[in-house]
Amino acid sequence: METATVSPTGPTDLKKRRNLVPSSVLGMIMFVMSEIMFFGGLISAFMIVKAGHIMWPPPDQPRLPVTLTAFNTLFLIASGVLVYLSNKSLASGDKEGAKKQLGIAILLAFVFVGVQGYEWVRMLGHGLTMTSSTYGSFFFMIIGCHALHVCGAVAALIIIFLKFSKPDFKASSFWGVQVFWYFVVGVWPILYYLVYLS
Amino acid sequence: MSRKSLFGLAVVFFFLAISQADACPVCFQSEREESRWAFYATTVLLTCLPLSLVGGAVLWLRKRFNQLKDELVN
Repeated sequence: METATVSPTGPTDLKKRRNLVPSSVLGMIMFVMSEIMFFGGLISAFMIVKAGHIMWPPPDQPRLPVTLTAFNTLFLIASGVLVYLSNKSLASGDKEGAKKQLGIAILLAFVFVGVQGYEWVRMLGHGLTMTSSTYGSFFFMIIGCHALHVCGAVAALIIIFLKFSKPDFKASSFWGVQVFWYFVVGVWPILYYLVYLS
Repeated sequence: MSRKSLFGLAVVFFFLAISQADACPVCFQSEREESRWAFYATTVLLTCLPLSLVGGAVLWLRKRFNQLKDELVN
């Protein structure tokens, strides 16, 4: 017996019923919204404290590596573009190409994290720590939180990459991870401008 | 003691207990004009951000709903 159900256009066949948005995507969008508020709070605190100082960065504090981080930003953006292209390849049925693009995106993300780590070691060597000054604590708090998010997103991308060839692979899981990765990539230029350039 | 006298006493205590308190960095850092503007800007940002996020999500869902509706009709 055929079961009827309610769809956006009224009762129709069960086969015709489609999700408005996959649960993984909707859940991730809600999570990303809370993350945007979290970073919004950090940025607000940073802007207010920065405006309270006559000179920013404070004169006795080490300068951040602007050029190196600019190149690193390009790696992260390229990684975001590759994840997008990977999704397009997957939609067109080219699973191998999609996997290859996702693999390169993960490698670029690793490069980003590696360069960030190298920067951090150098900054710590120059005496900039979480407790050395307000400047240091904001730098490590904001950039550190972003780095943690990158690590989490890379872990999720790796899981998707490993599942690519398996029969239980779901494209909707990939979309959910993509939402998070686009957020991580999209928020970085704002943080880079505020913390490194302004 | 009647309810009215209790309320009056509470109001008197309320006004006596008030004193100035610098509870956040904004209160004692806002001597500079830039700080005040940063405070205004971040207030606007943090007020509008959740509204625009929820509004954006609702609009996107509506667009997606209409898209699916059209697909089902055609």
